Amino acid sequence: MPQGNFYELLLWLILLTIFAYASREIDIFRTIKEIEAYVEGFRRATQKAIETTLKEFRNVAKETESRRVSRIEERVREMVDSVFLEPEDKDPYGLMDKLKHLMLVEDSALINEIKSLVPRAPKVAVENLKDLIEATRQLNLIYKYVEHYYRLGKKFKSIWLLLQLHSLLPFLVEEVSALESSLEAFSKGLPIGDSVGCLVAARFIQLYGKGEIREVVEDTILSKAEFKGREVLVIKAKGPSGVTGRLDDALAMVVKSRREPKVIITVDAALKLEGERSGSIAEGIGVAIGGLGVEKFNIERLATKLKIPLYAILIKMAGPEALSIMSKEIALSIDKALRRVERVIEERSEVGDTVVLVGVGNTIGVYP
Amino acid sequence: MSREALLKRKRRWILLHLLVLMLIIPVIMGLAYMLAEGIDTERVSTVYLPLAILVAAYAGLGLWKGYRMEIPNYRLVEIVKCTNCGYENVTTPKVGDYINMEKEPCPKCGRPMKVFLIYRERVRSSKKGG
Repeated sequence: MPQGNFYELLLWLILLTIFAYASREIDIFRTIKEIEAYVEGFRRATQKAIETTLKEFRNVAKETESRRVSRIEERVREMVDSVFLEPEDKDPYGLMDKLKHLMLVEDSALINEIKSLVPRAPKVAVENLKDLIEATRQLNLIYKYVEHYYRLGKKFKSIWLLLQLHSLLPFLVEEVSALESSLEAFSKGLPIGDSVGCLVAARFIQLYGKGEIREVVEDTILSKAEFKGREVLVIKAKGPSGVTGRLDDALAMVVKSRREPKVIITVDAALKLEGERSGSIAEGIGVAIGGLGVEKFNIERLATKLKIPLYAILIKMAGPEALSIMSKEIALSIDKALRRVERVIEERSEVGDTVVLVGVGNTIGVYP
Repeated sequence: MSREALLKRKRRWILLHLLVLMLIIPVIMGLAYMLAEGIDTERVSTVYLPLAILVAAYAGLGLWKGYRMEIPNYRLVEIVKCTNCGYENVTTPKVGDYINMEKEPCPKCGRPMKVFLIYRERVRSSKKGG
């Protein structure tokens, strides 16, 4: 082999090796930079959420002439940093009861904390502040976790860890956008996309209700209505504050105190797939309730025990839409959802039957 | 992403591509001059000039994309409806308003009016980026 050719080949091999190494380094650098931009975006969203929450606290404190304004900032930051520890699930027996207990404790602890800061605030303001704290807490949690994995990936130059985080970013961005847009709704007390289930139930009460509305469980109302010879018991969270109510407890109470319902219908907002239209309606079998699954579990358990059919009406929307102020498309779908509810009641029950209609979701800005 | 963040992103995008375009245009002019004067014609015509034009086209495309980037704008709508005659009034919701809240009496029949719906509507501006 001529010497010139050998050196050229060697040079090419060295260049190729450098190129392969540089290409990997460039890839890591590009991924890091992209994640960095998102982490910065999440940090800004969290900061904005904390500022909005603090501003709202100060407004409520000013309006209600509360004296402990100086403590607000410190306590709000502590509340945002506090965590919910899920119960131990190595022995799953009784898990849902434990989860429910912890949820109720967390809820009442947060409410008491807010009340101690703004003692004269009305219930609606307290509930809306609680929603703001919860949204801020979630944003803070997402930011902290993303930053943790980003720092870890960078520290160990682990392309696989960074790529996994990178691939999750579109979903996290959706969630952060949703939470970010919820801040405006919660601070103004206006209905959000998730309120649509409650709004359908409220419309049903308006159209067919007999006037009587009772708070059967804390923050949860029951109203009697009559539709085409059927007795319809409408259950929903009590508005207009941002609560979701205790729908499972209310349903258990209804079943205990009255005769068994023939059908249980739940109406709720559901996440749409990318190709689906916002405000489109879908029917389903089962319980349409999100969250940690406690209420869904309890309603399913009750219905299974008593062999009551479960039907669901779902109003489709994107993640950010569910938490931001209700969009026009969703507002216009309420009538369509109501027609579906009426049709399900008519087709799946007989004259003289009792039907339970549950409006699921956060009832912020919707009364009753 | 919030409107402010999107606006910031749009501005940054436009600025970056404008900067690249402003840098590459004098380079193209210089290369064209070299071509006209017959300086290193072979390299200029086959490598440098096509490369510079490619960069300019990429920056121009980016600039156009940035200009067309639409920033969503929303307005809040409140529909107040008379419970008796169905008279409707469209306004902007105030903080604390809620659906089924009683409002001022109906100007037509004098019966109470209620908030029927509150929603946000996308405002489409004629100029993109609005």
